[in-house]
Amino acid sequence: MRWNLPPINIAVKKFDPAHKIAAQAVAAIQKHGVILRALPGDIVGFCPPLIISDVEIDDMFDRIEAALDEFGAVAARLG
Amino acid sequence: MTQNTPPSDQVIAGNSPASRDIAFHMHPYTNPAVLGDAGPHIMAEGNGVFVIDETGSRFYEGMSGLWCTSLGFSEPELIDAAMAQFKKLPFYHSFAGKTVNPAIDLAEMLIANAPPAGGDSVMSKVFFAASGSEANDTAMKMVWYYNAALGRPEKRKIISRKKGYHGVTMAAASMTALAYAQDGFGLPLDFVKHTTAPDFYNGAAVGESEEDFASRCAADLEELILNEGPDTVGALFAEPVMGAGGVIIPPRTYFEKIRAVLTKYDVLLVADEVICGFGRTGNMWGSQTMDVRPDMLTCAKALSSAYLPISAVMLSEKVYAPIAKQAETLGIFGHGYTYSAHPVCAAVALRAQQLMQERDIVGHVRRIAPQFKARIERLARFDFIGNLRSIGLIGAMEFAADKHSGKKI
Repeated sequence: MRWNLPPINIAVKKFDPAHKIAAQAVAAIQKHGVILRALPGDIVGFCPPLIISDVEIDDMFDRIEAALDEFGAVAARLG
Repeated sequence: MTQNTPPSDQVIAGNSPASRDIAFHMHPYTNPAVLGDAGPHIMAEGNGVFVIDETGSRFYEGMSGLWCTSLGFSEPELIDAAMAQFKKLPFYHSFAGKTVNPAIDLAEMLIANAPPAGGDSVMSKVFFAASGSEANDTAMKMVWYYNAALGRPEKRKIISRKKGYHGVTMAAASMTALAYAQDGFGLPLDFVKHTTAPDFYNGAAVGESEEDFASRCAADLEELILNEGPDTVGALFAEPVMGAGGVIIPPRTYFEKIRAVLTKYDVLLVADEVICGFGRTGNMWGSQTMDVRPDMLTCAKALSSAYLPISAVMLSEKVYAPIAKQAETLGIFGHGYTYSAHPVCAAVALRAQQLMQERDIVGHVRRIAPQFKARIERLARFDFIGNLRSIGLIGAMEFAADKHSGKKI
């Protein structure tokens, strides 16, 4: 099983850590019925049970996307 | 006997579960002020990939709890395995040569499914504990015991990577190179050193290739070993894919280059498979996915789908043989836990591992991983997401203030 990391072609510009952007996103996503976890460095992890089905993966990420659509306004303000 | 009287603020705390939780329960990894204001989130039930809280709201558990509940939250086979063992023998220990059948079967199965070991050796023994932290503390002590047995007791410093997560007991938390696990505790202990994280997205220079970044990580490790003195460095602990530090997938060629440095200075490699183990990355072990070839391996969490606490340390014959000889000389291997090879925990772990095979869970992960990856990559449409990554059924999104800004190459 091979893996690829996306090439780094720009310098990374992070949010101000004081905003705790990942924790805010996790709270927003939880309102849409998905529990995730904020990790240090403005990261949100995904690690569902291994028994998850294809239908459940789609529904889970539909909910995450719906939450992030709403979250865009928050991110734009903090960025 | 006088009844313990709680402080007055607890007496007036009320009698709801939430208020009693705030009054009496000190939570792990929790901000007490936030808990006091928002209250706890009380979970009531589990069903497949879902958990349901006390208000009846249902959630996808997108983190398998704490990266652990691999078979979901309602597997009847594991409940049956626990109940059967509870009725037969709810506790026995494994000191002084005692043991129970589920532990024998589980140890045999773990060795049969072990990943390739380093140094032309093979994994040959399993030691049981109750948590990933205990397993890593045990592995560290085994590194010391091993080198003492070989007549070089000073070869005992431990290296871990920045952003690595290896648990929270005193030694494990020293290896967990994350500020939140060390600040306020006066950690790390002085014999633990930290080297460069294989974090390509944040650590690579603009235009640097994966291979070049991996070489730089290996050069940093070699420099640290030389600065400390190779005769004083016992082992490197490393997660095949870093979990709690941010789901950091190492760059191509990383572990082969790290391995070469460790072999050069006779430093052991301990793979922390607490998150990666048991199918998470699309193979039984993250060590297979990343070609780690460890001398020792620690695992926990999905070992029992987290239904009961159990962890294990696997030792290659190369590491085990001198340890056994030393233990014979001293008259005992003087380490072990009350709950090492606990019969009910072992029975549940054994059934979990059997279910992994019967249901081809690793095959399922491989089949479904492309969809998981595609859905993660679709998040690239959000301007505030700078990086997306996954392997098997573990992944992450990383925020960036403006992914279109910065200097172009």
